Amino acid sequence: MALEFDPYGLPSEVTTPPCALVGMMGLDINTKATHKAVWEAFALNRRPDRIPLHFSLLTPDFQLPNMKQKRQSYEWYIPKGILKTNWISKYLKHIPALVVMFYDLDWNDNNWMEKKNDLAAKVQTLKSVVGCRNSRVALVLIQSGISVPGEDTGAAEKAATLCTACDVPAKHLFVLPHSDAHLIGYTVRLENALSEIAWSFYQGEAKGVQGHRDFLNKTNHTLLFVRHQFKLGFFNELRNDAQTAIKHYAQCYRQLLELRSTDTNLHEIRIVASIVNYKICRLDFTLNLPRDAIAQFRRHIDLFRQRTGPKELIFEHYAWLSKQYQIFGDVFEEAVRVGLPAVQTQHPGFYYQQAAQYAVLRRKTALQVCKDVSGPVSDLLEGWDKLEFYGQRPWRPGKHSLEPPEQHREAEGIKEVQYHELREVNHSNTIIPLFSSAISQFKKYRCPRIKRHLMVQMAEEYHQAQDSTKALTLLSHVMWDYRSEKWWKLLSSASTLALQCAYNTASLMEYCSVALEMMGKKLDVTQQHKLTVHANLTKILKGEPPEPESNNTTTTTANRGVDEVREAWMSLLGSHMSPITVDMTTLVPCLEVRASFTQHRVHVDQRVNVVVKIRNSFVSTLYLSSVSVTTNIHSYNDKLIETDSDKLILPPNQTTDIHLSFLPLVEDVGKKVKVTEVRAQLGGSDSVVGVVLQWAGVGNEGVTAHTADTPAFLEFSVLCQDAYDTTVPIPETEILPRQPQLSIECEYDSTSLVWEWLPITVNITNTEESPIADISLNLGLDSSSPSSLEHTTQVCTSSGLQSDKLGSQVCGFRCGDLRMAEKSSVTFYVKSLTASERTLHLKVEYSVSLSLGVSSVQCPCVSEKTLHIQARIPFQVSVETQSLKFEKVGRVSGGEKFVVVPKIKCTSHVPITLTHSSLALVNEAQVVGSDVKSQVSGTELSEGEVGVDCFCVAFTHSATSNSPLSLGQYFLYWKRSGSECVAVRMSVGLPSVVVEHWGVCVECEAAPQGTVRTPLPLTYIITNHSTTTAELALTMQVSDAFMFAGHKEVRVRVLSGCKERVCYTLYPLLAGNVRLPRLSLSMDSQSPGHPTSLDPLLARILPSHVYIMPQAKESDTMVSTVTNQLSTLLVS
Amino acid sequence: MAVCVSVIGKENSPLYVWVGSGREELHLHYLAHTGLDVIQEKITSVTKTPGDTRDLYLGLLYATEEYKVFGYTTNTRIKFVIITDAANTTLRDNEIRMMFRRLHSLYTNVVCNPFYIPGHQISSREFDKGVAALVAGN
Repeated sequence: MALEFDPYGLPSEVTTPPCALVGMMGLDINTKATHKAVWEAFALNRRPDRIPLHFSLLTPDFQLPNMKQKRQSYEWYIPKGILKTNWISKYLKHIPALVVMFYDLDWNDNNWMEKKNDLAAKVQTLKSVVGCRNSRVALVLIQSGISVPGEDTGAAEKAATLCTACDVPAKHLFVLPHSDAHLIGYTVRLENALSEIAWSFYQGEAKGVQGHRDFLNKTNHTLLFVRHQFKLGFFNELRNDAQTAIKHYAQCYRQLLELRSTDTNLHEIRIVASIVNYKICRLDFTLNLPRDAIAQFRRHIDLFRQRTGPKELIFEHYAWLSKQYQIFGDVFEEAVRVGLPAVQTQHPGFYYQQAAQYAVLRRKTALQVCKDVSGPVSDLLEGWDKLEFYGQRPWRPGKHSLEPPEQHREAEGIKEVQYHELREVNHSNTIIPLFSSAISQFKKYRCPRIKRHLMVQMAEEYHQAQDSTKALTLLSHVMWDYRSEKWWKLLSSASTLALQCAYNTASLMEYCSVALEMMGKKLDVTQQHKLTVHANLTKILKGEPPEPESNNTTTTTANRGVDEVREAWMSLLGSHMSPITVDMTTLVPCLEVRASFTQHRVHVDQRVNVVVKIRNSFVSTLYLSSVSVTTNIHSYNDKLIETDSDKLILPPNQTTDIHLSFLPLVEDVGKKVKVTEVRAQLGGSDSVVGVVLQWAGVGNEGVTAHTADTPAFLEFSVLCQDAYDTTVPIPETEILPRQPQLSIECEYDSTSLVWEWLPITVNITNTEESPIADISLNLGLDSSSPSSLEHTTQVCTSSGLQSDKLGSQVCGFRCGDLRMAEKSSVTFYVKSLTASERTLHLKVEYSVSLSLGVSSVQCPCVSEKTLHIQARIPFQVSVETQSLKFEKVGRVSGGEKFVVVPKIKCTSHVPITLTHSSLALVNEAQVVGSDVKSQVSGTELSEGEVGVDCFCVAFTHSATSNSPLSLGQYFLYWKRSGSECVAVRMSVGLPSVVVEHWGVCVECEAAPQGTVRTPLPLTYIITNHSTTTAELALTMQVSDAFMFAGHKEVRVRVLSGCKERVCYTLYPLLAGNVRLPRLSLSMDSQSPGHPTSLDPLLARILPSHVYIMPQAKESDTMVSTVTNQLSTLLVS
Repeated sequence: MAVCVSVIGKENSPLYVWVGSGREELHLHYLAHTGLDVIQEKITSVTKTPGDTRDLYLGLLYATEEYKVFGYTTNTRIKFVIITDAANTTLRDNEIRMMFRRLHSLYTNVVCNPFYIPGHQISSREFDKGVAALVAGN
């Protein structure tokens, strides 16, 4: 029996796409290059867009299959079956519709006549061979040159003679010019012409078949109705007329259904139905009628699903159904490949899936009905693959009767088929590829869940086929998704299978992980089963092989290897193997853990506590031999371990807390300790095999994160009965520096004055229980301060007060060591250059020796403090220049005396003391007098008070005239009252003064006061500073208050560098502050007639008034005293 | 009427699965689960325009030889899947739609219970009764 033969599938000739067969003769492809090229142009690389033709190269001595004797009458003819197996291939391969005779012959060939006769002879021979079959004959002349129409008039004539000689119609003669460039083009055109001839042959054949119909009657020839319609369909298919072909095939299918069917002929009918259905569906798809194809298939299935056939061969029915679905899936898929769009709910995958399911059913029923089959009894199946008719039984070929001819032989035949089914058919080899096709289709059409379901079924199949390793791989992919979507029912069924597979393959790790999951409460497994699993797990831990998984689905074949498997377990557990690790993160196991720190932050001198909560959701107590927690800092890991098995007894449905702790190391200050892993060793102390359970993170990562019972909304946590589900573990803790036991007090005025050195006294008291060392103080502007403050803030210690370059930080000021309860104090000075708020940061670092347990370590500590200072301006200085008459002046003349008056207004909240003040004048100015004293030194000012300083200043005559001239600066030295600090110098710019140059200066010598009717001398001294002689006109104006003696109007000439005195004697007439007679001077300038008036100068520098006392009476001594006192006052 | 009624949560985990007695429970679980493929495809392909009041009833998801699987989704992405016998031709589309509406209101009652934690499996006697009445067709 052929290996490939499948009694339920389609014969290969049916699935070959039918196309017209064209025979080619006269081509010598082995020796002639031209012939080879022509042959290849026709037969090779036939793309789908070319006309469907099949070319076969014929040798000159080829023969056609013999014709049967033409039947004259069908009256007595009883057909023996429906479709003959040889008929299709006869037309596909052996009977050409057209034979093309190729011949090298140019029109102007020298030996034209000879060759013509040769060709005619060949054609005659050919005709004698093909004549009886009505195959058409055509001639193709291969010509080397291209004949231009009109050039060679002999061509048409020669062609006509040739046709006559060969007895072929003129339309069947072709010329193929052989030139390399256009060969393909010529062949394609020739092909078109040839196909027409070929199709006309099939049309003729079809007519012949149709002609038979008249002879048929409905009583004897129902089978022939079916056969003839099939033939018509097939001929039309060969003609490339799909529409008509479908019509005939559909008619054929209808005729087929009208046949009476019994158990005897059912198989033949359904095999033929399968062939016809295939043809219809396939043509529907090629005509882009997928709906028709699907509808036809559904009808086909619906009609035949009920016709199960004899009970003993029920598996044949399922084999046939499975095949139908598979065939349709293939046809559908082929259509999709060439461009048919398929959708998620209608694609080939569904048909493969159904095919796989029927294949499974086939095996199941086969195992049921064939269980009594003993062995091969006869050779009744001989020739099963070479029957004359499709679908007939090999033990009664050519019999198409409704009743079995021989009961006994029939029963034997059925037994044979059953034996064949049981022993010769490898069902898994059919089922697994079907699942695999379905899976790839469902993957393509985005059905991940259906794909997973199929994978489970495929795994079941692999398990049945003794390939548990593959099954386990498939299941492991699927189970992950079922877990994360919480379909426990599905996971349970997959797990049950996975446990069997793990047992069969003796894979310890998989066995343990599946077992641990099945023992959990999530999985829908019976209590009894859970206990069995637990018992097996316990056995493994003790080094004994587990009991085989008893399951009613386990087949006899699966049980075959029980002993081998047991052997494998024995040798596995017997060898001293290293402990295996089960990754619990990917499971929903019966043991859940949560490792949590007790605090988010821990000081370095405190113990870090870790609580590991272990929940046992199995129905009885479980034992662990160790629990350990791994952190990112490895040095602690050896401390985070619990091996006391008394503490590791886990009662059922309870949470057990395990407390672990460690002391952090000083060098880890600032680091974060994070739980990276929790590990536990399964089993009590008597375990032989090491099974380590491993959870990533604190135990709530991976699948656990999805599957926990924690409510999605925290508000619902109160409804959760188990606190285990709602407590959020603390996965990491930060190690903080030790809490400093140091008392630090800062004494300072929080309101500082701008420019002053504000003292800040830091008092440190050691309140630690041991001496401290390496105290280092840092004081500076807080790092978050704006950069503008950095430039306007200076910080120093007392040693740095005199330094020029001071920054806003003092770092690492050493303060030595302190014994217990000892005090120390340091003063810092802070200068604020602007009035704003400043935040200062004080950091005290020190180290203390701690005794932790036995060892003592130096532990660094840091104590920090923040200080706030609001700086305010202590005083405001405004400076005025005034004339000697204390009137504000902006202009002075060279040599003229004036006063500089700084006014200091105190705005400080505390009294300040001005210690000293001085002027720094520019070169052109100088202080008048030798003993210059500050008027404010030693003055104390409180808020709101004003102090006034005064300096008499004059410009030298060399000072540049008529431009503002800065006087210089005013320095003020000051400090807080009562402060021991050094005084701070503050400088204020003096205002600018415009220097005028008159060349002449007038001074007045007058007594401070006069008395009525007492002569009062008055002298004006006119000095000429210029280099030229000054000509002056002097006028003294009359006044009502005085009579005077002297020049009223005079011209005065003052030589360069000389003085001139003009004297008057006044006689006051009125008492009081009386206006003096006004002196007016005008100087002759370079331009005569335009004298320069000196009046503006005189008004500024000369006194305008004088006090005139009334005459004292003898009795009134008081008045004279007052007068005297007044005069002193005026002078000062 | 129905052989399986299931309520499936937002994250595609089953909240409630009722299977008619005497049916292949596991197989129906698989069917309800695989129906999610089609539901998901339908949901993602439709909700493109905002404010679009999409029909909650998704119609027939797919059919096998034995069963028909129907789907329905609420606005909060809770899915209902009802499976009927493929042979049961008396059930009309409208009746299936009504069953889903009733199931939806039953589910709403469950969620309104202040002691129910959303996302957890439904264990409610009232709901059981409601589903029993629903599948009995009265």
